Amino acid sequence: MLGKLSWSAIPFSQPIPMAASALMIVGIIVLLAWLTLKGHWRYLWDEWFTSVDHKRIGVMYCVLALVMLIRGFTDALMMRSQQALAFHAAGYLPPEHYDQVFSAHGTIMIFFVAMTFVIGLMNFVVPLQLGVRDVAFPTLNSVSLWLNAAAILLVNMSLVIGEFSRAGWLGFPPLSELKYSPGVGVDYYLWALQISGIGTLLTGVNFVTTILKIRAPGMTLMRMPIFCWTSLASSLLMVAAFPILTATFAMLLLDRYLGFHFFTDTAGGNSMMYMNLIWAWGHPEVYILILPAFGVFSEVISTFSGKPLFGYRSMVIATMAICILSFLVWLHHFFTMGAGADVNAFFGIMSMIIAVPTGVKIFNWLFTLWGGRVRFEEPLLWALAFMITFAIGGMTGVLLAVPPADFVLHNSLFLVAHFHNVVIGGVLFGAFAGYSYWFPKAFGFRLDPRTGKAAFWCWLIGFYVAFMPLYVVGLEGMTRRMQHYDIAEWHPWLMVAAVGAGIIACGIGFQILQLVVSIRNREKLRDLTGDPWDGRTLEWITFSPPPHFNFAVMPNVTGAEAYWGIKQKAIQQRRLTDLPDYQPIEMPRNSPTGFIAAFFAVVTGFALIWHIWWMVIVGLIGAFGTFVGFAWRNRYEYELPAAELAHIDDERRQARIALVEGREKGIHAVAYSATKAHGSRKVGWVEEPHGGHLGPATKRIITGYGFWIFLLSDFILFAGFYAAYAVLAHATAGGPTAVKLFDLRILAIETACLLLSSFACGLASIAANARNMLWTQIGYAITGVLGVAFIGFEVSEFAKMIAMGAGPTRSAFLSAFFALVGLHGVHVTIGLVWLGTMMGQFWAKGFRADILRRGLCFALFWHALDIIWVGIFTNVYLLGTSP
Amino acid sequence: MSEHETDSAGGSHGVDHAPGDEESVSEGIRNYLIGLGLAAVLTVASFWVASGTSLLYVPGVPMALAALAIAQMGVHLVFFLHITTGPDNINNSLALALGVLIVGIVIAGSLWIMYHMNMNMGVMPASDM
Repeated sequence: MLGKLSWSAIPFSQPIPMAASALMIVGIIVLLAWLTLKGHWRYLWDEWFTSVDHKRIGVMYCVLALVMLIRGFTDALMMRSQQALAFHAAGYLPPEHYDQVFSAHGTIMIFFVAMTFVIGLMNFVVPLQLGVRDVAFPTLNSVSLWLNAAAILLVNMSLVIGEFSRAGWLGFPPLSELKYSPGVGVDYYLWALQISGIGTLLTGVNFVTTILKIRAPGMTLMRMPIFCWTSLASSLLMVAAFPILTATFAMLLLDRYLGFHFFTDTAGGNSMMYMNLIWAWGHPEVYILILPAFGVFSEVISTFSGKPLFGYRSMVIATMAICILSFLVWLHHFFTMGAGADVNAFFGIMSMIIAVPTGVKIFNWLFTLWGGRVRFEEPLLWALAFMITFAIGGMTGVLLAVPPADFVLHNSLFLVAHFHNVVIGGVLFGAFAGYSYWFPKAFGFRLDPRTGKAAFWCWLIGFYVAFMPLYVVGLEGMTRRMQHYDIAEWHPWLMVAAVGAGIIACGIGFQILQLVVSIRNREKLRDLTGDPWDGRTLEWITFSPPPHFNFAVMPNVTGAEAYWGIKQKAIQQRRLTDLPDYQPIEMPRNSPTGFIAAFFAVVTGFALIWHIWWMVIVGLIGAFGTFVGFAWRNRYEYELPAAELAHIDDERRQARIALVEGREKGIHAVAYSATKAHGSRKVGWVEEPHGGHLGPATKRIITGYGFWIFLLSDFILFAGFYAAYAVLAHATAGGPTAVKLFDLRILAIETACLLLSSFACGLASIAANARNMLWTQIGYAITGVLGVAFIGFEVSEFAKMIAMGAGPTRSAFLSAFFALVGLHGVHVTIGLVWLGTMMGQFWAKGFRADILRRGLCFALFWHALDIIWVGIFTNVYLLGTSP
Repeated sequence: MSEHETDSAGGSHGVDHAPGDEESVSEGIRNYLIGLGLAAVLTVASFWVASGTSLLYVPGVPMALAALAIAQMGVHLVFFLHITTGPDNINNSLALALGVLIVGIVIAGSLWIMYHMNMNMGVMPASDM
């Protein structure tokens, strides 16, 4: 009934996890009790949990990240104190607990602090900077957030019920295989990351579509703020890289749950294939994190220098170059695995090349500061600290990119020091810079500068004290993840590192204090104009905090640095622009879909971890029901009347008059000649109307494009499985080979079914667009029947193979075959369920625009399955059986 | 759902086009028929190539299969998914280009890396184990 779950899952005998879970549970109970007593539930549910407003979602992401930062940092303190104590001694953490601590630390810090924080900032800022009202798919955005929260919940549950992975933050096999990790720890790790991975992928799809298809009129690509460019690059990387992670984890899960042999050390499995695939995701991942941070620094440095960013175009080119190059360096994470000189040389050189665009950026920031009117506010301090720290981390990175040097430094604390150097000095400082920079925009008051500066100095000094010693012990030969050691030379350095961690703890303490002080003094810190930093991009043109529709009228962009141009013109002329013509606008309604879907994701994930199969089914049906319920709703938008907009906007205009008339401290006109902005070929604020960009695309184009981006990520998912198949195709472990197994007659029938169903689906879309219900339904029905026939043939083929002892557990070759072809079959099955739902919708609701958009997406999906099938039937079946 | 929402199938944006959208009924049916015909021909050709016909130079078979597969994928893209190189389709094909690039890097890179490692580490072909 409850699978592997029993009372023994709760670690009663271990005092440290028990104390930690008791503390966590008490904390949660106190919080829940406070919310209930104060009666805040209604507000939280209506205004936050069901919100589809990108700003609220962004804030919730950042809150999650800050909470998880404390959890991950607690793990860090435990590791540093353990290593400070464990010289010739056992320390206070037993090995099996220590192993969980370092695995949890890495997993939490990368996925639930860095990723979550970066995505939170993107959510809050990007639509504001683009001058629009929301992202492309607001409800999907809420689903992403809550899936991420579901994953966080699962990871924290592992503290109380069961255990967490002991296999490091990337769960390398064979250690993470069932044979060596029989507990639920690795399963917690895998399912949590699969769930958050889906959320991240959807975020990527959402933001690529938003940035490419929804921008204010006149906001051409080359007029976008740099943060939007870096968010675009980061989102593209999410779409391109996360499917590889999903594929890799799926293979490991198949190994653990169904006895497949992808990465086992028996039956032809190859654990190095896991390293290869996971780093093909892992390296782009670090750029997913750092690129938005680069964007934050660009905004901050330009704003606080009072100058346009130096070399805007080179910054754009560098960002997009990194976006592509980041896919060509992944082998440098495993130079030592035994590939030959040419492979190592290629990836070594590529790793050095990728440092070039990063170097370009450093110079751009330096030249932006040069000659500027620099204001040393808190965001700029983080940016300056970043430039120095990141340059050091970058140099040790280039050192590690030299294969011979890497053979000495691989898996040492030198490596640990290097990546903390770039992740803390780059991503985390970037997140903190963004946090202090955009906080006034989000909440309407600034953060207290004194406590902020104290926090900054503690973090900066603490970082150097904690990690510079790790470079030293790394060079002295200390490997990472040691629970205890006997080398006397290391001990003093590790004591110093522990002190550094303590200084960072003070930094976090000051950050909490800063929040408390700022909320107390919020009236004094209030931002009345909406433009507290003399900003240059469009988020500063609206209120702080912005109304839920962001802009009463979409700003009309006539050049680069849109807001700076508008502001300068208003100050020169001492008047605001003329009263705009307010039009009623449509906003998406709030929806509990994300929250409910995430609830079922937690149920499903928990049930899978503990092998409670009936609960898996309940969870999946619940999630499906949630989406059907969402898809079935009739009203998903509401209208804001023009009069109300005019009324709200009047308030904003009143506040801006003070700014325009030069009464606001620190904001003043800048001489025309000195302000040649990027993207403008002329000096001064020459208006170049709309530049060919007319504003957001139609909903049909937005939906179709977003789905197309999703399909591309699906192709990449298949590429991961196909790569595994191609590598393992000859690993038959003495079992049957392709020639003996594949029946080409059945293959021909299957192919014919799929091709004809695609044709029928095409005719159905034509009929739907021509609003002919009969032919639409007939077309879809034929599509469905042929699809069912395809699945029927495939299932009987699989059953026959398993019956003759050629099942997926027989050899690595068969594991890869069943996984690849089966994945396509699962896609067809999902397509059939979708098709049934959609036919029902057409029948019940007629040719409504939103259902027609779904028809467009379904057709794309169904035709894409053909393309994948072409790859499978030629390269798997025909090539496998050809002479 | 507001009543006045109208985004017609063709897309009124002029410079932009949703992937998968076709123009008119007759043109649409013609496109799908051409696509079906070409796809069927290429599929039959693939099966014929793989059937071990003596008309073909045997080591060339994998190359021929790969070429036919790529050609057929192209047919599906153009005639079924309506991804073209037209000016209203630039965003769609650029996204596709990125996808193809990543797919290529992942597959080719994995094969190269793993082949090299197996050579260097003296791994026996698994079928001999």
